[in-house]
Amino acid sequence: MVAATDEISSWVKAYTADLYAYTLSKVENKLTAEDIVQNTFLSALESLHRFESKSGPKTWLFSILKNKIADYYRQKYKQVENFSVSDAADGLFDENGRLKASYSSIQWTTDEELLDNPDFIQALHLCIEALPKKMSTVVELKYLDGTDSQSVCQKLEISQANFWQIMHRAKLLLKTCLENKWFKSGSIS
Amino acid sequence: MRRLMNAVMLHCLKATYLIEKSNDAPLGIVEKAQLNMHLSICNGCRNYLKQNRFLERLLKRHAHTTLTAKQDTTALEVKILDELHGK
Repeated sequence: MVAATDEISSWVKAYTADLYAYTLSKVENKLTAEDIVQNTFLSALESLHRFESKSGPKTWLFSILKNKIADYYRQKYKQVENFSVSDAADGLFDENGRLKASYSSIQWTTDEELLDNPDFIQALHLCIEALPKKMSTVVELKYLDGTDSQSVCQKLEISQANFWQIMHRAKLLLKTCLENKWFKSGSIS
Repeated sequence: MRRLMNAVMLHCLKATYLIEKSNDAPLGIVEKAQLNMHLSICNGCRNYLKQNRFLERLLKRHAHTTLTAKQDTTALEVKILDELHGK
């Protein structure tokens, strides 16, 4: 299988840096990221016969990579101690279930540019990281390349209702975190 | 009347839950009606609806972004090539 190895070898030189950078921003740990990238190339070698050149090797490698990252999140979710989601973000509501004024009145100036603002994206990243592990793994898994929620539920073996509960609380926490890191201070960078 | 109102009306905790759920699955007729009624009288949740939709777009974008600067992966590449040629 010399030719196959040659092909993959050229991809290793061309794409490792991109694959690694992406993985590192998702899994934080360097050794884990290295393993994931390495396994991606090994999988690619094994299934090279299934690769159709029209999609481009980078896209194909990234899709293998994302599957491996999804597996990582799934494992992580199972490893993390069980955690009561229903308490998360409770502080935003009063005893009647109404949003407290201090949280409901903050306006976000949300223009299109903000979506691509690297400082803002960095703030989002930190806020996701700050979530309880049980929740951040779900969030990361859900938005990893537009995974539909049903397959997320299957992978994590949780019900849809449970999933919505987690996402509900996670979004509330992300809201307050972003408000603290960004919107309240009136950053106009 | 008040008790009836409380029974029918959602509070924000439930309303924000429905807002989140609607990102993923269409709400039932009753849920939709209840949510709309709540939104018509609650500024906070109307505000939250906007923020939630923005967060959705942001998170979907985030899936494609690499936050780490490109690293020197020469050593890793050598390691991978060794592994591949070992096969």
